[in-house]
Amino acid sequence: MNTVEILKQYIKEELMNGAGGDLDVNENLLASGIIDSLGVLRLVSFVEERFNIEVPDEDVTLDNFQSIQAITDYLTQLQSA
Amino acid sequence: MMKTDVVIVGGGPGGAATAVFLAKHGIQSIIIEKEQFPRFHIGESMTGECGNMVRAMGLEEEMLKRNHPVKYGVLVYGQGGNNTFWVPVMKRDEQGNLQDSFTWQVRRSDFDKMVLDHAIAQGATLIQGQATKVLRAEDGAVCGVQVRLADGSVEEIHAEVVVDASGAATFLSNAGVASKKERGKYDRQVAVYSHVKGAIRDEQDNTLIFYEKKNHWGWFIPIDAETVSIGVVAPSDYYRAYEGDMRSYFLQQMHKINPELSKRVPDVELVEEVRATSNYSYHVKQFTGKGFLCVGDSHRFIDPIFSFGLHFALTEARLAAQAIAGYMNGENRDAENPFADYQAYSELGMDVIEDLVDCFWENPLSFAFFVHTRYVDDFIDLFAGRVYQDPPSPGLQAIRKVNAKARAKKTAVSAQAYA
Repeated sequence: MNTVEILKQYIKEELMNGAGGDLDVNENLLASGIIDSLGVLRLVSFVEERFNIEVPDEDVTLDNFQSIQAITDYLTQLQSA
Repeated sequence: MMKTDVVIVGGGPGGAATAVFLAKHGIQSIIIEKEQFPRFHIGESMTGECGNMVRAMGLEEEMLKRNHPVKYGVLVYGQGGNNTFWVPVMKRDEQGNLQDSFTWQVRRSDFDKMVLDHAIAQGATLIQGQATKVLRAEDGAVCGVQVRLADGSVEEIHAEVVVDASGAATFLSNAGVASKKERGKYDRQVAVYSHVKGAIRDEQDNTLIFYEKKNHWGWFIPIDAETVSIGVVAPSDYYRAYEGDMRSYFLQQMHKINPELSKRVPDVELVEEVRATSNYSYHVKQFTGKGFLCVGDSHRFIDPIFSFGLHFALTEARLAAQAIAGYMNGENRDAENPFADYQAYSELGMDVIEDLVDCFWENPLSFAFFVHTRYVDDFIDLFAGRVYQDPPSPGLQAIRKVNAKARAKKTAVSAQAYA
């Protein structure tokens, strides 16, 4: 599975309790009400565990975690740094 | 003319506690207070360390006897009543481990009078009157104040040290002794508040905070068995745009800010007038010197959201008393500023809380992640008011990194706008 699929699967199964159809990678997860901010926090922890990275303190921002695309971009940037 | 060791301007908790801690060092003081206590004051919730200052003054038994509501923590409700976070009041034991603890919420008219009476019982002298002028010795050092007494007569009080505990009146800054008052970051806000009866309370009487959006929030603080203090804070522009009087604004906001607040106040009776405080954040940067120092609100007020008003009044009172005791025992007698260390230390603590508040408003997601997940214990320490730790805890360092990034981003945006 690629990053996008891994994230989609986690969000659907763990944060949306299996509900929801296809998730748009650009959809703003928090603003559209798909998950609440506690959900975002779980997502941050999941990303750390699943991809074996530590998100630096200053990077836990909405910009980096607001959509599947944003997280994917952020991970690419982190891994190439 | 009267003479004493230390003259304290202001008989609120900062001034009265300074007198109590000075008395423990065997130092005499005179407190000048213009109002008759009890009198109304806002700022009713204490941090954990603030509660420990009350204990250090020997007042725990009295506090419990008076049935002030016990506070086990602060509960913050996010927008729409979702995403709560809870920070318990905990203390550090002798091994440095966190242990359950509690602090209080108080009706300030009762509490402030209790502390002032305690100061008098410990030997402080209370003079009812208004400090009108600062007295200076030939070398320019502050050496007392002039006071207009209740009967209109004028008295000079000479002392080794003048302590400004005048609160928002900022006596020494206005007198040109401490530096000028600068506007703080949180100065375009209005707090509107009152006391209510009939509110629906939780099982425990904790401090509740309700977030609406950035710089727009409310508080719910039980202050006795029947009464709850409620306040709503909003940007000044938002408040000004409301058509109607302050009371109707207050009632409207109680039901508008957050469903978790609204459901607790279905049918309440206002038992205090509705009051407002605006533009409340300020900073006096040079607040100590030869013969003087400032305590608490008389030099700086940040933002009321995490209940640090009484905290700084009492913790700085103890620090000030220690610094003065050292000075009276011959320390720093020839120093340019005998209280420079006290000033630096006080600023350090207030800076930490400003950083905490900045992070909460500027980057709520990072803040929530640190509180919930990454730096749980460090945030318990910060909320308790353990703010003088050196080196800074990892949690505080994280806050500073987040704030620095937010500032850099803002600077970049405004540079772009001007390009």
